Amino acid sequence: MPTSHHQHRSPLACIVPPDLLRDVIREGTAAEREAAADTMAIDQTFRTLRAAFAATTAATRSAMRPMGGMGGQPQRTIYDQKNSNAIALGTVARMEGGPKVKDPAVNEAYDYFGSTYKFFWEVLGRNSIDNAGMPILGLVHYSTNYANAFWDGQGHMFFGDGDGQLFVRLTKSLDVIGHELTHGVTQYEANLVYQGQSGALNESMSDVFGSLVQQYAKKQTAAKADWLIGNEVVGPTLKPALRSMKAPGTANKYDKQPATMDGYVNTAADNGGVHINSGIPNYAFYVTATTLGGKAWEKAGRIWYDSLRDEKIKPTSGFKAFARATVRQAQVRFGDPSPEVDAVRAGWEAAKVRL
Amino acid sequence: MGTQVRLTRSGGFAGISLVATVDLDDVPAETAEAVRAALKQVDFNPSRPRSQGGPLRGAADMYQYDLEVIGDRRRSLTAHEPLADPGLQKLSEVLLPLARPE
Repeated sequence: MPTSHHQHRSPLACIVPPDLLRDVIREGTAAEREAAADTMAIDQTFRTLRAAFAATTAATRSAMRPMGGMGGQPQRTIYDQKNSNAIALGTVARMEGGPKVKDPAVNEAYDYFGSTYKFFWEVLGRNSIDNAGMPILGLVHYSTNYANAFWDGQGHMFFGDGDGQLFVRLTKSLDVIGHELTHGVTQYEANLVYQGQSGALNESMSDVFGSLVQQYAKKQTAAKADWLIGNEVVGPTLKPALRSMKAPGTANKYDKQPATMDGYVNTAADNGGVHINSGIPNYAFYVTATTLGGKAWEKAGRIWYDSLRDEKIKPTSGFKAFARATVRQAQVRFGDPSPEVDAVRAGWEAAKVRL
Repeated sequence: MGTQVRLTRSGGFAGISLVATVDLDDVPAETAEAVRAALKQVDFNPSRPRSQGGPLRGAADMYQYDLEVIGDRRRSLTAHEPLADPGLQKLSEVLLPLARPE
């Protein structure tokens, strides 16, 4: 595996339940006890910081950001994997501030990372993936005829050139790049386990913010947005789009996403159907955003982001826990009763997720 | 009926499952031979975490592979990208071109 270029939060700090850590401290070997105690301390520190941070406004957050340097400036590097299957970093193709190059995949990744960084910074006051200025590293031309893009959990986003059937070059889509970078954001926040409902929530976060990145770049209202994912990069098999947040299950002939809990799919494939059942929270977000009207990132996006950082959201949280967090965060930010709280409730009701 | 081999690649950013199901008696001899050769290399030992482990921690949108072989006995495994098992790698090279979306 490529080595990380940054200090990042130990996944152990989020995945292991506190009860288990307490058991290890009580009954483990000396080394295990020490590691568990460290983990609990780190976890507690993160939770305290997160709670303190959540209580501040975007303006004061910008002012109190020494942890991430100045902020507002991404640190991008794009690597050319030259169609190799190697996951070690390839040749540097473009660095931050470097001029445009001949290769469109390199420039697309660079530019769309910039748009995604800008969205998180300007709209949510977030400084990169870890909110501390983490470098944004993209690896393009990964493998041969590779019809996929992924986040490796170690700070790297990989993009294939597509197979021409399912997908063309994956870097051509801003919402795809926003989707992948958001997986990193989720890892550094709720760290939702990539399995079952928490995995589907993880996927939905990436679709929600991927879509918002695009809407923000186009200055579109919720009413004008297409709410499609990947429509710029689907090949003939998946045309006209990969997923629809507005009408899950209708994007292409293989789209099996449910819009409501009535259609929840139990499957062992795809880590428990994480890309299938994400249709349910996606639809809840769409209904919330369009019920509120205006620009989806201003209220609905803010509520979803606050909820991703809600201290009650655990790595194994499911739809109901997240739905309740969105109501709570809407109440905190907009008051109760308020049209925002009503819209959030309407969203989850439409998706048939009981609060 | 010969040995049945079913390979599913699910997940990825698209979440589309590609499924290849072959009966080794019904495919061209060279395909059957390539599948048999690859299967001999596949490590079905569940105690080896890299061949049957979960996805990489924190990773998202990587592929999941499910292999089921029904012959004299039934064997199966689940693995995640990047494939560490050379037999499974070889098998996916032979079978994925025959796979269809599901």
